[in-house]
Amino acid sequence: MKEINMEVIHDAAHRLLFDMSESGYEMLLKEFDVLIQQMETIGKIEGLEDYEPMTFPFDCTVDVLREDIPETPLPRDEALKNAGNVQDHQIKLPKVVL
Amino acid sequence: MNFEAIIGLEIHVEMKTASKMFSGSPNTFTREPNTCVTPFDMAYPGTMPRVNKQAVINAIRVANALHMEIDPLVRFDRKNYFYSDLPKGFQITQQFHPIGKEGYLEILGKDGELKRIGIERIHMEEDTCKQLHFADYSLLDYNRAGVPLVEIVSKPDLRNGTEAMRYVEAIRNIVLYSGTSDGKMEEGSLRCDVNVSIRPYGSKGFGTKVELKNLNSTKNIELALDYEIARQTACLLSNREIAQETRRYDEASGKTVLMRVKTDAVDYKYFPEPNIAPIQLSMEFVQNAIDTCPELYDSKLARYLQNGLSQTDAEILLSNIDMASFFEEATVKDPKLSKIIANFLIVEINAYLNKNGIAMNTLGLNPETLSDIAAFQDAGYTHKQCADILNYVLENGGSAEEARLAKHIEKQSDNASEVLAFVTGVLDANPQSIEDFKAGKDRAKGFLIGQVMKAAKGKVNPAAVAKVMDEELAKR
Repeated sequence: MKEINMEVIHDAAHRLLFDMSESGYEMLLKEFDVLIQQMETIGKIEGLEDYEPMTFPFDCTVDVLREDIPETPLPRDEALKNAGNVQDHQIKLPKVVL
Repeated sequence: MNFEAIIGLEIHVEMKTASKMFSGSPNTFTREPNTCVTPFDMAYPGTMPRVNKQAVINAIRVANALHMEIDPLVRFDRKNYFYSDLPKGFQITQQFHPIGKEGYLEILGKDGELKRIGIERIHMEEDTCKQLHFADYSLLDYNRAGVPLVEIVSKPDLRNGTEAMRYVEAIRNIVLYSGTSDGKMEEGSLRCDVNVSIRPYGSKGFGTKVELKNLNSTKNIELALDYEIARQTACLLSNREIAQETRRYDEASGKTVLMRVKTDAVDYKYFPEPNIAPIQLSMEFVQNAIDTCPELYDSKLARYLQNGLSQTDAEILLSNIDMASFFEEATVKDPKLSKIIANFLIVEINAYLNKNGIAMNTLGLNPETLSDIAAFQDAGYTHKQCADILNYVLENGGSAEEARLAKHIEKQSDNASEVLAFVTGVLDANPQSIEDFKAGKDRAKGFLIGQVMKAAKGKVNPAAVAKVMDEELAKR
């Protein structure tokens, strides 16, 4: 497992587009120590690789599918209300091509 | 050194449904920007995905047509990435448990032999929003965000551009005829990413993979791959390395052009979608989706051939789903007229559509009327006469019988004694033409037949005239 140090935490924060005080980063680093120890303890359990990660608190399946019936969409003005910049009824952003 | 190409395709197909994959927003292509958007599509906090039943049915139909194992336990996962084309910050897809796996498709190889192409997986997911990029800004239309998609991933079994083109054509025919998509590459409802590498013949390893994008027609897939294989071969023969990169096909120059060099693979941090509980489909549901699937291309092709159509004619009809549908309606009344009806569609009606720039589904002709016109031909009217009737109906509407009366078209006689009387009269009046014919001038016979048709005012059957003419000339 990759070592979690201050540099890694700063880099992750940068990639996730947030920043905080140095004391905040230090607290996060300490919390990671606890988390990693817990993971290591769990990792020692035999046969763990035979289990899928748990997403739901218990085994559950449903048989519900939505009927394919269109609903009334948002009025366009409403849909674009939170956009900072609109041109030709489309949201305008600085160009970023992946 | 000889090289072989290793080609794998990822095809995204937009599903034809009334609403989106996880929201009730209408799923249409032509609406004004940002008018088919619900709070879920815009990732408003607290909104939850609800899986579209028809999209699941469509995916099952495509999976079945591709001979895949269908997983009745439907599960979704999150593909996390930060980009403006999906406001949620992730795409809901089926990374870990695709609805279909281990299938195949048979196509004709370049050598004319049937070849089986393995299909690794088919999974459901949602489309991203449409981005229009300008010089220094982008415009976003969220109408497409959330449109149901299936992604079909082939095994790397394709070896050249022609095979790849035929594979995509076969997939397009499946989605089109199963009614699951309109399969329009030019409108982006069927999109294709191609991975291609080359290796020396006999080698088991894989070369460096190049991804090709911007392939908006099946022909371009063939052309782009043929060019790219030649480019990679030239690289290796001149000791240059092939870079792992994404290239696009430039139609004007017929070349592939570098878009970007690939660095590290992106880590999408996939994990199971917590907002959709696993959905257990009953076997009845799966079977019903399969049983109610409209007839597929291959089955229709086999049926058309059985009804006497040539391979070429059947393929021309099936290349236009609206024309194939019209053909089927027109042949309901009398299936033995299939060949005549097919001829009218392929020749006269296609010419009419091209001349007037209209599509088959807007043609103002009743399939039953075409069947009636074909019945005229079957009853002895010539093809030319029936084509005149058809063209009259196309221009003026009305029934076949009304058009026949309006054009004063009468059935041509093939009564032997009637035809003989006209032939004898013309031969008696044209002794010089008989001599010319005997001297080897074949055109003289054409002249004589023309004189008979003129004398009979077109009311005798030209085929019967030709037959009697041959017999009478032989006697003189």
